[in-house]
Amino acid sequence: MADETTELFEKAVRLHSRRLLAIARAVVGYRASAEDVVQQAVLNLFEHRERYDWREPGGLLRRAVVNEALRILRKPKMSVVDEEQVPGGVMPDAAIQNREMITHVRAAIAKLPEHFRSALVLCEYENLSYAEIAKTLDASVPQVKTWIFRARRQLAEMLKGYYEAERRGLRT
Amino acid sequence: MSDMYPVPDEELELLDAYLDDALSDQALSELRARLAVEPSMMAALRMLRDERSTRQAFFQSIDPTPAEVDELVADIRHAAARKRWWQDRRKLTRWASAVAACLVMGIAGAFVYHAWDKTPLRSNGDTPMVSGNGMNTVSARARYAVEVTDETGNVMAVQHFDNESEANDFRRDVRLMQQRHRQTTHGMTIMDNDF
Repeated sequence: MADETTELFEKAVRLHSRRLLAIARAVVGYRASAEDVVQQAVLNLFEHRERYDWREPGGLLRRAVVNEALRILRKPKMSVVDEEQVPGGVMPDAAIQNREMITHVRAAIAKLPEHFRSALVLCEYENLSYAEIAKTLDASVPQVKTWIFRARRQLAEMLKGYYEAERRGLRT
Repeated sequence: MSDMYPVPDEELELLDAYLDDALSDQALSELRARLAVEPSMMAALRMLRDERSTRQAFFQSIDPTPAEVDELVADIRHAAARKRWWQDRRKLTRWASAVAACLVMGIAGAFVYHAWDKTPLRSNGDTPMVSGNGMNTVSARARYAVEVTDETGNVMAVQHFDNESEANDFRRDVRLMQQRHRQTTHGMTIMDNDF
């Protein structure tokens, strides 16, 4: 029984690690190591692995990673990961302009409040429904809708100058 | 904030829900009808789509490479194996502690029982008691004890013996001694074979 659980756990980790790592990167940004966040979240689950159903572990793992990321961000002292060390810097087929735009968006997303950012990531990266996001973040659906709406509007405000310049560039 | 867009916040919320694929069939058909006739709504939708595509580019950029994922999976497997090893040791330690505790309790219990077993049984009804004036001879399971008592019957001392004859000899000697003491105390002289 214990071996079966461990096997299912390892299978779940192999299957979901890529997306979990991306979620952690989006939520913690430069402020912590996303790899550490995922590893800690997954090991916390592993410690009590007998309690969980590992046949459908996607939601469980996602929730654990988001919660761990938020927990890390709430810590008063945090080591800032250098921008050069942030994974994901390598973008195949990405032009300099594209890289510049991504840098702007990344910086803007990093400035969002944690819950706004988490909800936005789960919505636009994980393509979860509002109800699933609410479950993951332990919030209500209206609250999640508000967070996502505000996150988008704050991002738009922060990137306003960039968008305007881009539109002017497109027009000329 | 809505001054950036050609429509108010409520409409933006509706358009966001449309792009999130969160509208009901009815709401969807109503919105499509509006989009066909309201240029401001269409313009706002285009803006939201543009913004979303920039965010999508960011999300693509944070997608880990297969090598990064492999490294993370290997780290997690290694850490999980280590955690499992410690969990197994802790479980083993708990079992060993429980067994040790049982042993200690057993030994302590046996010690207490043994110590209780050695104490003289003075007035236990099951135990045969040899009594005389001033003293009682008590036979325990393996030993004999003679209690030396005063005139009122209070036990002043207990002497242990390995066999009954020794206990009886001691009892007789003490009885004689006590008789002499009483005679001396009360000023009486009794002619006896001993004199």
